[in-house]
Amino acid sequence: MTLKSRDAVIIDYARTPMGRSKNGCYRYRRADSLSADLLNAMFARNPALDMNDIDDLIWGCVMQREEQGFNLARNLGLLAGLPHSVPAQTVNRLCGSSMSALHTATANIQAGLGDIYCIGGVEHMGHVDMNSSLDPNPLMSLSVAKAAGSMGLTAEYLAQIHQIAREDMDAFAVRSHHLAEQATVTGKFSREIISITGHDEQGSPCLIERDETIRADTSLERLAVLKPVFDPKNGKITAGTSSQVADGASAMLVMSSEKASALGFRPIARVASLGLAGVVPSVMGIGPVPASKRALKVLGMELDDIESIELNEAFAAQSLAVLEEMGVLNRMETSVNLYGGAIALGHPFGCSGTRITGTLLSVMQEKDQQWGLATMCIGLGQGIATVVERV
Amino acid sequence: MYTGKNIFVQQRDNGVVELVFDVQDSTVNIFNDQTISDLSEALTAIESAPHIQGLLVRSAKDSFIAGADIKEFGPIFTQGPEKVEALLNRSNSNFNRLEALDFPVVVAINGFALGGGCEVALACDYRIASSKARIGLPEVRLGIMPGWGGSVRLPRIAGIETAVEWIVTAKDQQAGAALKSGVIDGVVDSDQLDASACKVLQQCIEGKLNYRARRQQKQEPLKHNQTELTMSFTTCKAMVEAQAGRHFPAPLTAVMAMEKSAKMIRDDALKVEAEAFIQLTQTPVASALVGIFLNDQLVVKKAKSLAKLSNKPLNKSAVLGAGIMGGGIAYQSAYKGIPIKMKDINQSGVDLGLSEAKKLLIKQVEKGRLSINDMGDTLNRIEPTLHYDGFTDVNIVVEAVVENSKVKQSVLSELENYVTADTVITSNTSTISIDHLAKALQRPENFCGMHFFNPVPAMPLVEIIRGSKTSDSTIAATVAYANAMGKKAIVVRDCPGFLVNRVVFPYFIGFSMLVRDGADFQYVDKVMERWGWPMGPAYLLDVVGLDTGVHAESVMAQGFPKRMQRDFTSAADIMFKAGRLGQKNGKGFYQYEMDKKGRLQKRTTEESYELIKPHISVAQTFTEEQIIARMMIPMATELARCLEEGVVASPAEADMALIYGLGFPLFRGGLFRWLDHLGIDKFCKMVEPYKALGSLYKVTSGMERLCQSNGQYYPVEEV
Repeated sequence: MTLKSRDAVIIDYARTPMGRSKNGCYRYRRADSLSADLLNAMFARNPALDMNDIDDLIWGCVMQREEQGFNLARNLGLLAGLPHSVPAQTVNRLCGSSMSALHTATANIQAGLGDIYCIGGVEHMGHVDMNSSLDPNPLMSLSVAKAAGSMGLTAEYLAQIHQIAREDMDAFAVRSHHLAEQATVTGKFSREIISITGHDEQGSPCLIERDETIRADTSLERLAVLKPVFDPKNGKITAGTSSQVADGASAMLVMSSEKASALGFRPIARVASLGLAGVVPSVMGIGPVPASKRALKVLGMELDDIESIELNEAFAAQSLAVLEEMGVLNRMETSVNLYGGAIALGHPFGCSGTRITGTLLSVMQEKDQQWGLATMCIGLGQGIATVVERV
Repeated sequence: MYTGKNIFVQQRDNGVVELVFDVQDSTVNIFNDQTISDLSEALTAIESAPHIQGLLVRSAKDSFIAGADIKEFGPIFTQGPEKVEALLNRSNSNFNRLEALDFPVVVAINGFALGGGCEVALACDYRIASSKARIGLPEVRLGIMPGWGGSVRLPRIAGIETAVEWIVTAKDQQAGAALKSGVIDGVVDSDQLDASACKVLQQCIEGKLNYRARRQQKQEPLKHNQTELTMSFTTCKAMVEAQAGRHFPAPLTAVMAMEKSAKMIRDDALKVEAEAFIQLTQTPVASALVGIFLNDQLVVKKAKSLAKLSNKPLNKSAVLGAGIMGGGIAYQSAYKGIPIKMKDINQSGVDLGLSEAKKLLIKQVEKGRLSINDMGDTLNRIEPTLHYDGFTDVNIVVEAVVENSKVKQSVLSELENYVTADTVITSNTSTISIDHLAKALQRPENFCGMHFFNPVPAMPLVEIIRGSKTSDSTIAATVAYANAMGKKAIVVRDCPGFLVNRVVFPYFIGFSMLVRDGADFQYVDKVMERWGWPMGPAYLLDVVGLDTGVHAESVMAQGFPKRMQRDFTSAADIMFKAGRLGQKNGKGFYQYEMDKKGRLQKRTTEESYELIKPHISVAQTFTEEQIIARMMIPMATELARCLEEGVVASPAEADMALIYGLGFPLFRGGLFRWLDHLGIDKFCKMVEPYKALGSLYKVTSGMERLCQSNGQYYPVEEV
């Protein structure tokens, strides 16, 4: 393929190992510190980049308060020692936040507004509780179910509509953990993971080198005994079949292809297409379906043309519903989330968008594939998708 | 590998060596001359040993290092700048050597790491603390600043604002807070500390933790550009100037040194620090504050050893009279874990006492110092009662009824019937002679004075007054109770007013005479506040209450008619007669109104001037020096008399009593310290022109002797 000069290309991607939010390895580290450490480590492996040339630092984050408040992106940029002249913004599209950051960077590059963007996202769910300090408007209930704000219940709803069995959910979750563990031990994450400092169980500082969230010993038997968490009476979704509450950051270096070649960078992939969609809030989990369709339509492509799909595993039930709706359930084992997903790795909201796009690139490079799709559902009824083409 | 007196070095596993602070013949580690020498020798041993992979620095005591030995180093300050500089250089060279070792250095902080203890930790690469550790740089409390690299390394490790906050507030920090600030790197349970520090060393050795980068950061200039630097230090200096006050130069000096050295490498910055440190050691404030520190140690030590002599149990106490004072005493006792009965003759009194205790507890809860659960427990330790039932279980009673000798005598004599022959009985009288009250008692040996200051929780002093019949065991038990309540106990001999009130009333008389002679009381207040008192005399009388003040003064006049009997109507008398009782009814010398935030605001009022007018001579202007002399001479001569009569045992205790009980200006180090600083000969000359004002303006025989021998009140002999 030939790149156009204003194509947005991905030069590098990275993430921290994922930490558990409850007494996890990042309990003494802040969201901005994790992000700054990650950024600096990524810069260190791209010495040709002059940080002064970065046009914008765009960081995804959902719970923008306390240590994540007051324009987190600017804070972490200053903390990381970026030149004062590099601007920064924090974006919030709930779970799609850092993918939105990638979209903004891509659009800006395509529009010729800038050439070098540093994007990413973070969520320290252990420090900033996702359930506090929320104040939804009661009058929204004039047209929307209040439970649409509870992601677990929307997934239960989706499970009901799509008649997804508890056993299938459990099996999906086991798959996620096993694939993630396999990817870890076979070194498949070695490109995307940058080790950073955290603390061990006792509290000693130490280098965190792998995801803390993966449970290699997950089994159907173990999952079968778990009780439903969102709808204890009639529900099927358990903590084991939901994405994990986790802490982590991810980052990406995106450039215009002309700038990349001028500076001598070798792009990994081009951001080929972007897709966004709104869906009915109470079935927010289905969002990836219309979003992916839109992204593909622009390219005149079908899902069959996509070799690898990285779908954010908000819930096993939701993922299975999406895959079914997309008609790719039959090739899940060969082309979907081959290194596991958020059920095993965790879903730090702001982090996930660039995290799954990066993992998609890891899979595609390993398998030497050309076309890939990263997509995720978003609370209150949205979907977001990105199609990448390896260069 | 090395065994010194205060430090030893030995091999551990995996090429790790440990340097252990273990100061001999001491329960805590301190940096004294010996420790510094040992550290230098220990480092030489370490530097010359082959194959070391990493160094663990730890303490063999229950705590880490409490700081520098002030008793040893304080006197060096007075030996001039060269001696101070030499002292600084020795430690700085040690710490720089520690920072230059060819392998990682991890420190395990197992308790207090203060002053020099904190600074040695800052010189290590990684700092791991146990959860009970407390870390800080308290130097400015002594009128000095960190001198062993604290003001250089801390801003380079944790940033300017954290460094300024730690150094300027002088507060020690909990381990968790220090971790959050980035000053330390990990907090673990005490029993994990050693293993944890070793793990960190291992991570450094394996290259997983980059100790060299951190070392580098400590030796480089700060990363701020000039604009950021200016902004940072401008705001810090403004904050410090607003808080520290003009009498305390150390905080601002420390910040200015940090500013000056911000863009320097470590070694140059250390020179700037040393220069500022040396300059501060040569100020009178430093010698005053170092003096206070040593005096405080003396007072605490004396109280501790007295309390040790007590052979009486301390399971339950009681307070009689449940007003504001009684409530405060009950609160303090209960808060410190000693159950207390609070007895009054009226339900309304009990209610007042309980509501005072509740008010104090709510304040603690609101400040986050106390949990709701602890508040409940504390309140439950106060047992309100209208009867003497169960007083046989009480080990010590504090009588705090109205300040009237007849009432007190009758209450004390009644009380004696309900307590055991062992129970200690004390009176919280502020002026009435203990021997006089003891006349009402069958067991005067069990009786002494226990004089709290208002407000009880805030004022550290408790005067313990020994009557002529008081037994040693009664004194010991009462001191033990004061210690248990977290108070500073100073034992004095019986006389009207004891120590603090005996010297404060002469000061008030000085004030009355000044106003009589035409001074503006507001100006007197201003001058004395500028001199360093928390409030001027008129304001203080308003706070104490004019009724209380006038009554107490009459008791004092009876006790010391020669010096304290006035032959004129004082401004305080006039206020009292006009029903102006001070803050308690909203008007005294000043007028008091609540502002919107519910805080009492002091306002000037013409009314008090009108009232005084007929009783004073023509208004005249006094110079600041005249006012200070006329106010301070009576207090100074009376205090000297107390010392000479043996009412107080030492100048140190006298100075501390005035600091704890009256808020005597800290930066002056105490009244005797002030006299020493002024020079006793100068003081005697200062008194000369005021002889005509009466016998309070006459130097004592002891002062005369001191003057002739060219002597000083300090230093005092070791107790």
